[in-house]
This record gives sequence, C-alpha cells and structure tokens, in this order.
Amino acid sequence: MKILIIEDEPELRKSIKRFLYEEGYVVESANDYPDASEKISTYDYDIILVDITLPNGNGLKLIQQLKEINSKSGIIIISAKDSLDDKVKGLDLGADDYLTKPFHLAELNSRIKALSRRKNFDGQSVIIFNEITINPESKEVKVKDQIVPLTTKEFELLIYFISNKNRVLSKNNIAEHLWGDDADMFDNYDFIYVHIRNLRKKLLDAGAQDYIQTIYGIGYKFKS
Amino acid sequence: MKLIHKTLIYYTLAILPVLILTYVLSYYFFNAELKESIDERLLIEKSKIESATNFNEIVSKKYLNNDELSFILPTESNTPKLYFSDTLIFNENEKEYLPYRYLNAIIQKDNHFYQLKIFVPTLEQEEIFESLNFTFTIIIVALIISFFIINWIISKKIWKPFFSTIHQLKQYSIKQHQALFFEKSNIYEFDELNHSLTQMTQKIQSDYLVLKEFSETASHELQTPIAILQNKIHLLMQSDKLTENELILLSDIENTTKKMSELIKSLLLITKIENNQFIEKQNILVNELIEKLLQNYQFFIQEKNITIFKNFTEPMYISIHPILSEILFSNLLNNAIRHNLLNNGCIEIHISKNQFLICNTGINQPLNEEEIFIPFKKSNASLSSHGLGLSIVNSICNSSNLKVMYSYQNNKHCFSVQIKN
Repeated sequence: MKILIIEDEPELRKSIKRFLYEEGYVVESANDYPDASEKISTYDYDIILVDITLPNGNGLKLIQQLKEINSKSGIIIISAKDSLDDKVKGLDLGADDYLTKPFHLAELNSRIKALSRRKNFDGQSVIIFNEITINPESKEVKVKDQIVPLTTKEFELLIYFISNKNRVLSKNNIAEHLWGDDADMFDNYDFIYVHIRNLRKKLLDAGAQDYIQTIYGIGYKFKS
Repeated sequence: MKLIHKTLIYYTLAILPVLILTYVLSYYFFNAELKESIDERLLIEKSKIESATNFNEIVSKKYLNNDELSFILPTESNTPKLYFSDTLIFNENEKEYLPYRYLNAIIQKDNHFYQLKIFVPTLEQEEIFESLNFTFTIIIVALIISFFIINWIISKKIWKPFFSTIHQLKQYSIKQHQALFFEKSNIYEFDELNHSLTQMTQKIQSDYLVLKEFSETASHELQTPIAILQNKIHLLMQSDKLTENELILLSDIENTTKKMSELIKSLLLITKIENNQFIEKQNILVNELIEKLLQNYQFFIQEKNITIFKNFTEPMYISIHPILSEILFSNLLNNAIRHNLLNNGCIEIHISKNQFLICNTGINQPLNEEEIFIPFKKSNASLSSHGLGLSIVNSICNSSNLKVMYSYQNNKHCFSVQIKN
C-alpha cells in the first residue's frame, strides 16, 4: 500500500515516514504545497496524510484538487488546528478522517488501517489474525469460528492492539484511543487494566493464544 | 456638568462686567442729561422772570408761582452771579426728604440787585433711574433666556453629529470585525474627531486580527513540536534494548508531553472564549445536554461506583454557542466525577428554570472560593488536572451571560450556574 505524507515539519515527517515504513508501507513525502500538488497529480496513492497549514498553500486546496481528478485515495487530515470549522470544511471537501496534532503514531496507524479496510484496498474488510477473525462492520469477533462476546470498548481495544501488533503501547496511548479527551477523567490509567484483563480472559477462554503482554510500568504489547 | 451649562456660565460671567459698565455709563449720561435739561428749565424760568413785564409785581410777591421755596429778594450784593445746586428738603406732606435742584442767581434789574432762587423737584429723575434699573434687569434676564434658547438650539443642531458619534461608539464592538465610519458633519472639529476615531478603530481591528491569528498560529507552532516529541517517544519505546527503568522514564516523559499539549489546548480555548470567537448563540436545553453527557460518562461513573441523583424540576434553556455549552457542562460533570471519592461517591444534579446545580462528594474541606476560578490555582497539588477546567467554566459563563458560583454544603462541593438577568 502506498502512502503520501504531506507535512512541512521535517522531524514530524521523518517520524511518520519511519513508523509507516516499519509497518510495511511504501511511503513518499512532500514538504510543501507545490511539491504535494505535483505528486498527487502525477502518481496514485492509496492513502494521503495532509497537513492543512503548508508553506505556499493550504492543505484543503489539495483535497479539492484530489476530488477534481476523481482520486480514489483515502485522505486523512493531520492538523494542529483544533477548530471545528476546519474539521467540518475538510470532511465536507471529501477527507475521510481528521487527526488533531499532537497525535500518537499508534493512533495514526489504527486510523490508516481502518480507512484502508473501509476503502477495501486489500480486497477484504475482515481482519484475520491467526485464529482470531474480526468483522469490523458487524462488530463480531470469532476465535476458531466460535463467537467471542466483547463489549464495545473491548472490541475497540482488540482492533487497536491488532492494528499495532508487536508495538509497545503506553497506557496513555490506549486511554486516549478509547476515551479521547475524556481520558483524563481518572487520575491514573489503572482502569485500563480492568478492560485488558477482561479481554485477555475472554480470548483465552475461547481458545486463543495469550497475545497480550504486560510491559511493566508503561503499558502493553500485542505480540504475534 | 454639561458643556452647554459651562459655556452659559462663562457667557454670563463675561457679559456681567460689560453690563455693569454700561449701567454706570448710562447712569452718568442720563444724570448729566437730566441736570442739563433741568438747568435749562431753570434758566428759562430765570429769563422769564427777568423779562417779565410785571417784574415789580413778582418781586413784591417775593415767592414765585405760589412756591414756598422759590423766591426773589432785593440784595446788597452787587455782582451778578449764577450757580446751580442739588439739595434735600423735608416735605411735610410726604414726611421725607425729597431731592431738589435749584438755581441761585444775583440778577440786576434797573440798577437794583436781586437774589433769585428757583427750586425744581427732581422726583422725576429718580423715577428715571428706577426705570433704568428695571430696563437693565429685563436685559439681563432676556440675555440669559436667549442664551439658554440659543444653546438649546446649538446642542440640538450643531452637536447632533457629535452625539451620533457617541452613540456609534457606545454600540461599537471589536467583534464586528470592522472599523467605524461616520457621516460627514460639515463641522471641522467633529469631522476631525470622526476621522481620528475611524483611524483608531481601523488600527484596533487590525491589531485584533493579528492577535487572533497569533493565537491560532501559536496552536499550530506549539502542537507540532509536541507531536514530534510524542512520536519520537513512541518510536523509542519500541526499542528492545531499553531497561525497565528507562521505559518508565519514557512513560513519564510521554505523560508530561500530553499534559503540555492539553495545557496549550485549554489556554487557547480560554483565549478564544475571551476574544469572543464563539458568537453564534443557540437556545440549548440544559436538561437534555446533561442526560447526553451522563450517558457519555457512564463508564467512569460506574467505574467509580458513583450514585447519581437527578432532580430536574423545570426545563432550563440557555442562550449559548453549542460548543461552549458542551465544554461548560462536561467540565463541571468531569470535575464532579474526577474529584469525587475513589469509591461509592455521590453526585446530585438539580435543574430548575434559572439554575443548574451540581454537588459532589469529595475531600472533606471546602475549596477556596476566591481562587477556584483563577487559572493554575489547584485545589490539591497531587491531582493530575492542570487547574484550568474551572477557569474555562468561568470564562464561558462570563461570555454567555451566566454566573457560576461555588459553595460547600453538607460536606458536598457544589457549583451552580445561574442565568443572569
């Protein structure tokens, strides 16, 4: 899968690029408006990450340009502007998702995966991980053809883990993914433990292997 | 004191010495004229007597014209002389001294000398002075009244553009996003004033825009480095070579970065609220909003085993920007959940037509009422909150005609939001 990163900040571009490269994507990048405009008119990308504030132009214009050439690319806006106006404008123009800076790379990863599933790039919308099969549309999880009843949060957690398998995910990452801005409702993230314990137990009971590994002091890892 | 009254006083003060001077001059002028005319009359009397055909008869009568004062007497003196003088003579009828003017002359007739004295009452003269005073009083009164009328007309007509400028200034708000422009008044001073005000408001507007843009860009400029930090931390965390202690350090750094990012978001939000960037208002039903938020927070409420007691007696409508209403009430609810007891706490929510009240169990001592809404004043240093939640609540209330208050009742922390009248 081919991804284009349009971001003017070199360090951020570098991190995202490295991260996505490790995830096995083909990654290209553009650092300003003219560069990006030229790349999207010349090549096809599966997913385009676009920053709104760019040197010599606006990211929203790039989305317009993509829509004019009937591009099939999935578009994720990454912007520091937390303003609802930009969000609505971007999504109205045809962007598929909106991520506000600062964001976690794991979060970006799960959004990219979700988008590629929705766009059906891999030719299937079902997530298969060894003996675990997940249908994101019907929210159904099966282990060896046996349905595992999960709560909404447990389901989201499982998808997040599988999207970011073999990565250390801090409690912070997980809390923010599950609860967004409300994650700070607790003074610590111990409550995540309850969810993970339940998920792990349900998967084990259904006959799956123990994939969830605790990394002491910081978080968890879904190890394949 | 109004400008009109002030000018009126100055006019009156300026006109007073002029009037007094005119009065004094008129007095002397009239006095002189009167004396002259009386003297002329006396001289005519005198020459009448001198040339009278029955002169001897007059002399023999001694008194002239049946007047006890005027007389003619033969005299020893042999030099003709003539003078006029004023005197007061007691009048038996009126029982008072009355002013007279008389002529004293030594006249010669057929080689005899006579002393002639003719008196004329100057009562008329006094009356003239009286009427002079009267006239002056009328003039002064008329002047003051006409000042009033002229000033009233001036204030109505000439000052009209000035008051219209003031009216426009009172209505002026930086939120209009445009400078003020005024009608031409054809009065140089006012046009100058209006011109300066237009220039000033243009400057204010452009400064305001710069400030607004600054706060927007500040968000971009600060969030990007934080995003970089966060991402690098994540990449570093994936390393296999890190020890447990190093991982914990990394996790601490990650938490701090997150806090920094939240802090910037909150500060920007306060700035935006105080810059009045949320103008469009809608009628929001608080009861409905609270139900929705409780639904959203259900997990946290259950997790902390908090009992919710709802008492919604009436629908409460507030006029507010929808985003602000969400932030306002979710902050209050968030606050009540976060600062509640670790287990088996309780939250009471009362809603009536004009008041929203939320009370929660928590630490067993009241918070400092004065400091609680000030940014960065924390009720408890160990809490992870950055202390801006209630400042945001306060800013939203101030910008939306609401009033937020804190009280500590029955071991509960209560926050009320009231609609200001």
